[in-house]
Amino acid sequence: MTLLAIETSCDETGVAIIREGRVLSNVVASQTAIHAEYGGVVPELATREHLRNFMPVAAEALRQASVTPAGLDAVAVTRGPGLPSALLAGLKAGQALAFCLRKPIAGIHHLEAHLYSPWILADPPRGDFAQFEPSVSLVASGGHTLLVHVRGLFNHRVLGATLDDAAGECFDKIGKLMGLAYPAGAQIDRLAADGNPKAFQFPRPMLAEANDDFSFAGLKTSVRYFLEKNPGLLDDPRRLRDVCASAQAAIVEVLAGKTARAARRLGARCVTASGGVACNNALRRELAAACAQAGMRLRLAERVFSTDNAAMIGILAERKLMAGAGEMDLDAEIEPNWALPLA
Amino acid sequence: MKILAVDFSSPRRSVALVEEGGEGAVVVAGRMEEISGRRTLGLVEEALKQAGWQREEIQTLAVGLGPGSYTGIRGAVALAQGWQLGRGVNLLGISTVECLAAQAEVEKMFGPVHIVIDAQRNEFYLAGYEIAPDGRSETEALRLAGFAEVQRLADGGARIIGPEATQWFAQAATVFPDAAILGRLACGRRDYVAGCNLEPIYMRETTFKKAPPLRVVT
Repeated sequence: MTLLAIETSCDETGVAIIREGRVLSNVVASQTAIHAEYGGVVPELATREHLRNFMPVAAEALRQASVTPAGLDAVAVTRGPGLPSALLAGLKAGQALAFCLRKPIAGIHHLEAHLYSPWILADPPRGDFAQFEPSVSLVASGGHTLLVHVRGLFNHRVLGATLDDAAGECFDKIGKLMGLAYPAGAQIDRLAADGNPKAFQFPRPMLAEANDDFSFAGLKTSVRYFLEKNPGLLDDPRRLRDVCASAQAAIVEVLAGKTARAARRLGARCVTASGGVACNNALRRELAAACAQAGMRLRLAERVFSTDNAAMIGILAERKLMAGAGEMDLDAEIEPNWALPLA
Repeated sequence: MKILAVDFSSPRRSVALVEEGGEGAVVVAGRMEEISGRRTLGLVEEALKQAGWQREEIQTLAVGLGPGSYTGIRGAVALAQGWQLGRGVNLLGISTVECLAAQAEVEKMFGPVHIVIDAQRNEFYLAGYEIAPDGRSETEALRLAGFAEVQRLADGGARIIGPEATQWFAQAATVFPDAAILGRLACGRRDYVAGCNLEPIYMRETTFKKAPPLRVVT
């Protein structure tokens, strides 16, 4: 099966061509520079950019894959969750493409695609489901943070989620408080590398609570009060790095701690992590240490498949369509608030 | 030339299949409309059945670019992009206001006509046309106007038409954009655009709050 996948749930326009588990191309047009000026994603601008970017991105993906539209067997598109107007741009284009080619179309859950993205290898890019095993999975990005028990392929149960801000959102908001450019996660990661994570004590929200939920809004507020009380601190590059390292340590300790604890409780032999926050070096180290200590395997999404991309949409869609699932009606609508399906 | 015309800029979604024949002949082979519905390709499929056409026969897509409901317009633009990607069809973007003026002509609303479309925030998209038996001409270019201005026009006895104009102005006439008219407007036009250049007609400046100056840490 040769499939064209589309991802437009937020501010990345992605198109990928997938064939029998292999990623033939994976093109992403990032809008980061546009939204950085505003300190966050502006949905209206994101939608306008998707409409401008979709055709060139799709043409490039087809060119790189040496595939023509006539050679497609199916189309897949992110149906939700995400920004409504951004989702609409991709969904309607995908539906029309499938309709005019008389091909099936799969509507894919964005978070489910992230959830299974650790099972995609980067070099060469392809699905690696032969190695699949049940896991406890952390999905952490700018829009979502959740912990999922994956009992089998497409058999999963959400254990917990953030009650307010997502982990990536917390990174971005703390970065904004510090005057760092959006998105701040990668910068905080870079600056924290030279900082002291124990220099300042920030709360570890809900780490001690017995559930699998998260909450990061209070941590952001705590950093805000701290910076208000210490106004000159950010003018000292060394201290700024310490703030980055300390705030990052708080976020990472909560994410890694609760993930490892859930895995131990459920007797999981494997832990996976995906989403943009899974690119964070401290989180990768912390999860590796926690898994090594507990004798669990760790499977991290490759960096290229951690941030939003269409390859993960296509890989999941192909497997679903082959299993007789995931096909969408002609006029199925976007699902901006789609909860991760409980299997 | 077989044309699929779509206008989703108003609460009445409209789809039509129009065939451009020789010597200016135009045949409307199929049309579907739905008020307050959300179907898009379902309407296209029904219109195709009505016309007895195959989807592969479509050579051109004409899209109503508004102004109007941007959710609907963007859905139509994205639909056109997907179709162009798949089949390499020609794309034409046509102003919904132009379509409404052409409808006024078809409906013999002769004389000056003000086309009014809801722009939210107590504003309207407003354009003026002179409709005559031998054609129509624009008298006032499309622009944003406040409620009070349009109310004054209505109070002064001006003829106001638009998709939902009677919601605000009792004397107005309801005219929804009709894809069959849009398809007729597309006949003979060859100023095709690439899908990436097909854009809704935006009348407002985009003003969003910018982030404060950034701290540069090397």
